[in-house]
Formats: sequence, C-alpha cells, structure tokens
Amino acid sequence: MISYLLSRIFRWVTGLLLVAVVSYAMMFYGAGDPIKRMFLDMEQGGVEVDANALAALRAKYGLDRSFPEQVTTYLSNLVQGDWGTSIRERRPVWDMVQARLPISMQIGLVATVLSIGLGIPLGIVAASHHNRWLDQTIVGSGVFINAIPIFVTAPILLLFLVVGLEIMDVPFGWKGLFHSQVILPVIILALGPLPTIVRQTRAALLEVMSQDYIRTARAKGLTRWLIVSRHMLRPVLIPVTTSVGLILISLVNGALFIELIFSIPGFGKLTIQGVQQVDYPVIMATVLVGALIVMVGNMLIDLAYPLLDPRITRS
Amino acid sequence: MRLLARSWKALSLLVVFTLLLAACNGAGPAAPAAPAAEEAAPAGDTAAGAASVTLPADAAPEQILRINTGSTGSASFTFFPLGGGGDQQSWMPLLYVPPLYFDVNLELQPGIFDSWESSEDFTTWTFTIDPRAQWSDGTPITPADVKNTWTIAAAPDSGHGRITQYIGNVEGFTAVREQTAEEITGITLVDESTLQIKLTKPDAVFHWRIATTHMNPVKAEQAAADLENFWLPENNPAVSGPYMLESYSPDLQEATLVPNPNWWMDEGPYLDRIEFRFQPDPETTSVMLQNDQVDASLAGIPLAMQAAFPDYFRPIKAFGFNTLWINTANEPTADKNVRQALVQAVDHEALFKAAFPQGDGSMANQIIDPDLPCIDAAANFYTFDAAAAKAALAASPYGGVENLPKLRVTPRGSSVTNNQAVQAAMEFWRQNLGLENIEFQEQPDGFGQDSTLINMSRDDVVIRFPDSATYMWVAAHTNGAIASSEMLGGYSNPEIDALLDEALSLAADDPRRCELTLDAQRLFMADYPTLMFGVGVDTINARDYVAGYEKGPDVGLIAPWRIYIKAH
Repeated sequence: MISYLLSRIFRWVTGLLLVAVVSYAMMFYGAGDPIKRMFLDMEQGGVEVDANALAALRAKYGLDRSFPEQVTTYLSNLVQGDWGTSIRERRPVWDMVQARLPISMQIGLVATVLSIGLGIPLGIVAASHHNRWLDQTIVGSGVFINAIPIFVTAPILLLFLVVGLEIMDVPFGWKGLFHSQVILPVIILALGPLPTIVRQTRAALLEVMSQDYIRTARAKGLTRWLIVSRHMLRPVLIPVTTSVGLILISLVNGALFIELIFSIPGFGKLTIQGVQQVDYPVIMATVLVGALIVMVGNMLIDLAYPLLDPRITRS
Repeated sequence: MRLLARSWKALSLLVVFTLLLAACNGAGPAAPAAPAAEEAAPAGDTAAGAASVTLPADAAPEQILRINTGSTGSASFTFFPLGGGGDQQSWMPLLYVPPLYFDVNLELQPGIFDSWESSEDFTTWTFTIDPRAQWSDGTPITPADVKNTWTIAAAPDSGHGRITQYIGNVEGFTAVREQTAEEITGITLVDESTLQIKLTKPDAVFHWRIATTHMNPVKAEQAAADLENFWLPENNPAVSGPYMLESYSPDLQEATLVPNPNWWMDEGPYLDRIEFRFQPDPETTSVMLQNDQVDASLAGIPLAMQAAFPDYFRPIKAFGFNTLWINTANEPTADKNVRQALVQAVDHEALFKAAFPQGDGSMANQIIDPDLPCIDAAANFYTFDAAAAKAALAASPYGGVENLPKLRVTPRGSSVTNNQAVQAAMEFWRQNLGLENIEFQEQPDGFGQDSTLINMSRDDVVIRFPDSATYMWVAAHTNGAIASSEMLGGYSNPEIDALLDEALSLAADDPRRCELTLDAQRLFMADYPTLMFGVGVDTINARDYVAGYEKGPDVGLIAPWRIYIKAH
C-alpha cells in the first residue's frame, strides 16, 4: 500500500510540474497581457495605455522577464509554498483559493451525495420495470433533464421560485452549507449528473439480471430485495463508482454556471475571474489545484474498486 | 448485505467529511474586516450620520441603500481609490470628495476646493481648500495631501488609467511619469490651504479637467506607506467623503459603508448603511429588483424591464458615443482608400438600427457628442455609397478585395449592442465589397500574438465636462488618448494638432475655440479613421425612491451626501 501511494505521489508531482510548465507557457504565449487587460477592463473611453505605465507595471509584477526566468521563479516560489500574489486583487492567491475551494467542495459533495441517493434507487426501479411505463418515465425524464443546460434551468427556476411563487429571495454569497439559500443551487447541480447515474445503474442492472447466478438466486426463492441488494448491486456499483468519481471531480472543481448565477464565491467563480482578468497567478493556482483534485479523485476511485470487487487488485 | 453496508459506510463518510468541511469553514471566507468607523470616531460619537442629522420629511424610517455593483462582464470588486477607472469609480464620491464636481445641470461646484482662479494666460491656476474639509480621523485636508496624491497617481506603476489627460500639462508631471523626479515641481504649496499649479501650456479649462472622482485626494501618507492596501477597512483609511468602508470581503463579494463621523459639509449623510453586493449579471439583478432585494445597480437591467421599472431607465446626461476606430498604422487600413471603402460600404442608418434595434439611442452624424455646446449643425460626413466604396478599394495599393490582407475586428467586450453593430458592418463589407477575410474576436486578447495587428476596435470617446475642444483633443490630437492608442495606431495630423492646441489656449466661451474645434473635426473625418454607429442612452439604474441619487458626465455619483430613501 505504501509503495502504491509513493508511486502515486511521485506521478502527481511529475504531472503537476508538467501541468505548471505547460499552463504557464500557454498563458505566456497566448492568453494575453494581464497588465494591458488591467487598463482595458476600466470603464472605456480614453483610458491611457501608455508604454511607460505598461513597462513599469510589468516590471513591478516581474512580467518583463523571459519565459524561462518567469516559470523558474514561479516554480521555485511554489515549492516554498508561495502561490504568488494576484495581479488584480493585490493579495496572496493562496488566501483566495483557501477561501473559495471549501465552498465548492461542500456544494459539490452534497450535490454528488444527492445525485447518488436519488440516481441509484431510480436506476434500480427503472431496471426492475424494464420497458414498462415507470422505466420509460424515469429514462424519459432523465433525457429531458439532460437536454436542458444549467444556464437555462437555473435562471428559469430562479424566476419561478423568486418572482412567480415568491417563496425565496435571490440567493447571494455564502452563508454556510446549512443556510436555506444553498438548497436551490445544490438541487440544480445534482440534477446535472443524475440522469448519468440513473442510466449507468439501469444499464448495469439489466446486464446483471440476465446472468445465470441471478436466475439461480430467483430459483432458490430469494426475495427481489435480497437478489438486488446481495447479488446485483455489487457489480453494478463498479461502473457507477467510476461515473460518480468523475462527477464529484467536476462538481468540486468548479460548478461555473451555478456559482455565477447564484453568486456563490466558489472555486469555479475564482477560475472564471482569473481567466477573465488574465491574472497569471490566479490562473496557475486554479489549474494546479484543479489538477490535484483530479489526481486525488482518480486515486480514490481506484482505491474504491477493490472494496467493491475483491477480484480487482491494485496491481 | 455486506456490500450495502460498505456503500452506506462510504456514503456516510462522505457526508461526515462534508459536514466537517462545513464546520471548519463556518460561514465561508473570513468575515468582513473589523469596523473602521468605531476606531476612527471619537468616543461617544459613533452614532454619527443618519442618527445625528435631520432626515427630510419624506424619508423612510430605515435608511439602508442596497447596491449591486459590477458592470456587465466585470470580474473586479474593489474600492481602490487611485485606479483612475474601473467599476469602483462610480462609488468613490461616497468615500472621497472630488476636488470639484459638475452637478446635473453641468455647473461646476466646489468640492475639496472651495475657490479657484487662473492667470490671464491660463498657465497658472490657484485653488484653495475648503477650511471645513477634514479627513474622517479629524485631521485637516491639506494642499500637501492633494499634491502628494497626484504625485503618487502620476507614477507609471500606480496603474492610474487617465492621469495624463488630467494633469499631463502640469510642469514636472512628465519627469515623474518618466521616473526622473519624485515630485511634480509645477504644484506649489502656497500656504496651509492654497495650492498653485503651473502648466506647460495654457489651459482655460484645467479646473474642469480635475473636476472628476478620478482625481480625489486621499490621505497621502497612508497611500504612500502601502499603496495597494491602504484603503482596506482593517487599515483604518482616512476618507473625506460622507461614508466610510465598514467591511469589505473580496471573497464573499460584499461590502458595507457607514456614515463618516467627521463628515464636514453642511448636508447629510442621511443613510445609515450602504450595502454593496458584487453582482454583474443584469438578469439576476432584474430578478432581485422584482423581488425588492436591490435599490440600485451599476449595470443596467434588460430593456424588457422598462415597462415594469420606468424609473430605473431615467436617462442621464453623459458625453460619449460608440464608434469603431480604424487603425491608421496596420495593414491594410493604414491606407486611406481602404478606410474610405470600409466606411462608405456601410449603410449608417441600418448600422444604427442593428446596434439599437429598440431605438434606445440616436444616430451619430459627427464625432463630437450632440449634447456638447459646440457641434457642427450641418455635419453629414459619411454617406453610404457602395459604388464609391468599391472605387476607393480599387484605387488602393491592393487594387481590390482579392489582394486585401486579413482584417481583424474587435468590439472589445461582450456588449450586445456593440457586437450587433460590428457584425452588421461585417455583413455590409461582405455584401458591398465581397470582403470575407475578416477575423472577429470579442476582446483584443482573442487575437493572441496578432493583437498588435488589429484593424478596427470599438471604444467611446468620453470626457467628463462639457467641452468640445477637449473631446476632439482626446480623439484626434497626437497626444490624445484615442489617437495615440493602439486603436488608431498613433494617428497624427500636425494640422489638427495646431488647431486643437490653439483652441485649448482660448477661453471656454470664446467662439474661436469652437470654430477651431470644428475645423479639426472636418480634417479628422476626411481621414476616415472611424465608423460611428450611434449614441447610446445612459440610464440612472436606481429606483425613484432613492432620492438624491444622481449621475452625470463624470462616472461617479453626484453629491452622494444628499442621498436618502424616501418612504415608499
């Protein structure tokens, strides 16, 4: 186990190093000029973008140096725990990540749990009523939900609940996970991956249902509940776990639209902010932390497989 | 069953982890900073503001103003006072009184300065500071604060977006800008309340030039000590305005302002609190408006809401209009014939309709804003003539569209109005010139390494006082912000420069000043450097029960100490 973890960590470090260099190169050569952007983002009309100011500010933020110099300095600071200072907000980037990431993690985890809690039972029900009206209703609803993007669902629901039914205010900011304003964003977020989980569960169950050992279990006179829970769920959970893992990674890594529409100050919003402002240190931090989340998430998925099926070993 | 138990264990672990995260994180990012008001105010004086002033008779009992800040597409939430631009400038008059300001009738009003006079040749200006003027910590505002603030802003690494157009003609400014001097020698501290400013050339409207919230003095010793963070509430910044930052959280994207206990003017402030939320999405703001969660916003709300909230759409007077600047240095638009072809191939009326399909603007027939006092009443510079456009293209060194290098066009932002106009222009070029080799990017950055090759960029000409000569100077003078920028590619016409230099040396009401300005406009337009697509209407973006809420040609609120909430 220890050697497995060590090899994983070695791969992470190598991967993160590669991600850092490639990302920095992409920003340096293609993303635009953060200093010029600082001026372009002011209300327009006669903003002076003079060469003196640009040069002085580039020097101030170390952006006047060559790519190798910049990337080396960045990496050496990073190794010492310094994630840099935001060019636009003029404060440590790590403070920004620290403030935003836990919010996205909380929302992402709760939305994932909600998706699993609803998706697996619905998948089981759909498979159990294969090709009957209940199955078709569940699958059809899933397709319908999947067809509407979040940036359409969220404003419509917002308008309906706030202005139509007048049962809530427009959520704004972050008042903690247990505040009522989290309910709507979490539900909308959970709706996204829900059809995937339902479909995965249903398809896997249908495949298992035709296996000989299930027929044997039926012939033994086991109840439907026992057949499903004891004999069918285990193989079903392996593909579902893969999906859930990926869903969790994507939700935690930043539910961009939800955070924008509901003004949730999460990691997704920070990512957009960094990209919009071409704020190099912020972009680098969100890319690296995002990559780390993907790596850790994938490892957790790998670790979960042997728990679900002992035939799968870490080797 | 074992499997189920394991799954539930895993799920429970996930839930516990989430709850732990929630518990550790509490209510999210660090709570807003400690109130500066309490520390700055003398003992027993913390109830200053709305509690100690008599509210107008029609005022509501609760005086809380809720503002959504953030212009459309913006990602920046800050109250940094020395930026010379940015969303925060709209709210700066709440925190800092400008040197002078224009009221809604475009009349100059005293701010920090209570009197001003110039020498006969307009090269020396003398300003006196209002004897009542003081910082929120109770210390007086001095001429040194003004000089040192402007010196800090003049430094090239200050990030101030417009300092040159305000005090660029002050003696010694250039040396500070070029980092060869540490103070602006042309600003002299005459006595404890008087400031004398020497200019390198005559300027009859210098006092108008500094009548903007971009030039608000700050307590210079604080700014010099920590320019980037001095304004944060935890650093107890001294302010001169009617309100002060009580809390500011860039992560929660919320801020609160409370009354300045040492407010020094005779009126206001009436509000107990101003709550800011960073919400640049107009759709969300309109839902909040319908749900009575917001009273004013920086970004406008969708035009479809006009019937329900006509008060929100009250027009305000501002100078500036949208145009597509044509770069005079980059190929192929460096050639005047190509520029003429691009301009004449477009039906300007159709372009205007594309930009403002709901009629919420007016056609532009000249570059000078129609609300300014000196305009060319007979102007009709560009006529739609597809045949003439083709002939101009044929007369260019390229000989026709087939040899024309790629054109790069950007509306510099995601505004629907601007995007529609630019797309319509592109369609006219396709239809009337057969021009299809065009790259469109919303932002200059979109062109990557080719961003220096852009041929057409949209921008406004904006000035903050009613002077056509300055307006033309910004657009067309070699040193003007637009002409010298990448948008026009360093446009320079010595004849225009001479006309505008002479115009600016004359008194504001001298008829010759207007004549020279209009001559400059004629010369400028003959070079085909611009494709105008109309003047938009600026709106107040506030409910009518927010009394005293006024905006004008400057970006900031006008005399915000008069704002109060009417009973409604």
